[in-house]
Amino acid sequence: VRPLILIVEDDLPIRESLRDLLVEEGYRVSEADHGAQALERLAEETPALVIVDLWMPVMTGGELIERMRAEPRWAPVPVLVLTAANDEADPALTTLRKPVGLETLLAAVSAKLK
Amino acid sequence: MERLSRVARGRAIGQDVRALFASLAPALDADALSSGVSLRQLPFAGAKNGFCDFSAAPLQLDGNVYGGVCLLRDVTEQVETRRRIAETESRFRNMADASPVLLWMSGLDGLCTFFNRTWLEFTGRSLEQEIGIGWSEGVHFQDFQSCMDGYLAAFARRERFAIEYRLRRHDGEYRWIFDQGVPRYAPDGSFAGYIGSCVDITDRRRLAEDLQQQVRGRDEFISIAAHELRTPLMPMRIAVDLLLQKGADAELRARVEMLDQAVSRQTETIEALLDLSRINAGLTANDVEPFDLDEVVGQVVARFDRRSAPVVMAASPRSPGSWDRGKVERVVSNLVTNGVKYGDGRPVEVAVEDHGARVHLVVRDQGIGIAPADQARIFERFERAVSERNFGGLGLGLWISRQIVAAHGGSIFVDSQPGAGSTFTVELPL
Repeated sequence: VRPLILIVEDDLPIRESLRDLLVEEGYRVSEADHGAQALERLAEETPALVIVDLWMPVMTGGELIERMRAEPRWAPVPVLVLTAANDEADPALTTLRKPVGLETLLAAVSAKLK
Repeated sequence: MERLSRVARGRAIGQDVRALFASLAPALDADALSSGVSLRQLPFAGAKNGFCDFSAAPLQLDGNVYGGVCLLRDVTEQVETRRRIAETESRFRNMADASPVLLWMSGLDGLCTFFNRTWLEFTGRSLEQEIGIGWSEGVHFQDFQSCMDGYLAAFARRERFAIEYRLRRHDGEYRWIFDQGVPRYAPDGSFAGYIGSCVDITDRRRLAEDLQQQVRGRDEFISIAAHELRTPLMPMRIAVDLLLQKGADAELRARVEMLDQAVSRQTETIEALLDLSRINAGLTANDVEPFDLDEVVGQVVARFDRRSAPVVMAASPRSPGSWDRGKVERVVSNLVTNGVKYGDGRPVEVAVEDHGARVHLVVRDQGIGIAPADQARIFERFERAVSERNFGGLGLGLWISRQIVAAHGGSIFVDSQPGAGSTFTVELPL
């Protein structure tokens, strides 16, 4: 079964290009506009990886990650943070700064899925 | 007698006492001598000018005065000493009153015994009202407890203290006061109470608060700008990378490569601009924490995109020390970026070396090198050794790096030959 990747990103061009790229790489993809929507997607099917933006309306990436960590079903799901913000992210999280190149992004995704 | 009168003892016998002490004569009439007198601190002119205490008592027999005893004591020194003390006191009081700071003094019991005129004018109250604990009536009720606690705790330990509280000014406005107290000691070394000096820091506090707010506002702006500037570059980057990967006919490829360069250049410019705004916030070593330099350098090196040139981390000894991690990462990243940019596609080598009290970070490329004439200039702001037509960027990387390294007490230098590559060495104290 092809691994499912959940993309949580409020910027449509970014989300679409990530989706196209990952689908082309052979992954299955589900999408969410923000943290709250991501919780719905998570409830439908637990993904193999969540790529999450930090600054989003309704529910931020930070809060989403906290909620996931508090829920036993989702706590073990690997998370890749993809942000354009300067915020010092939690050093325990793998963080990529936008705009990140294709190679670096795919390498990080496959490293997380191992 | 001889000393005071300048008349030898032998020659004095038989003379009128008023003649002997001519300068005292006006105070000594015949009545005074016959009825007895006691005069203090009489000015006299004798062997020297001075003061004496004079007393005379008549000698009587059967109600008849037949003589008298005069006693003269030279008290010049005592009078002078007292005058000097009074002078010193008034000089210090004048000084205290003229001082722009509010001064107070307390005694052994902690109660205040003195306030200078500056204090009294500030509070608009009399010395009588302020003395003891009267002054505390002017302290803002929200600060009263902490003010008293601070004072009494220091008092019990006889330590210096510095407290801030609001004190009511004569016009009713509460002003922030910075009050520094020091224990004072009597000449014999025994504790005698405190002396305190206060300044009105209300304006300073307001300025500091305004400044903090401005800094917060600016930081917020920079962080939002950073986010908004980077976000649209992300889909561009992916699209360009995808197009490059898929390959195409020569014409399309040339155009995509142009796009690729444009996106890269835009990315660099944005990062440099953000750096520049951060520089204005001060390139200081603020968050110093212990870490292993070799490890952090390794992490930065590992993040590098190796498409344009391989970046190799040489085997390096464990290098623990204390630095500002984020800033050191910035330096490593700047130097490696330059190495890749000017490295002519050849490998860039990064190493950390242990030099005792200092640790060296070495970044070596095998690229175009830097002419000797340009080697000092490249560390200046907006400078570069080569034309910007061929190499993008704002020319800030080395300048920023040098500032960061200097803030750590270190130095940065370059060793280079045109055509033979450049070696940048950063020396950091542990």
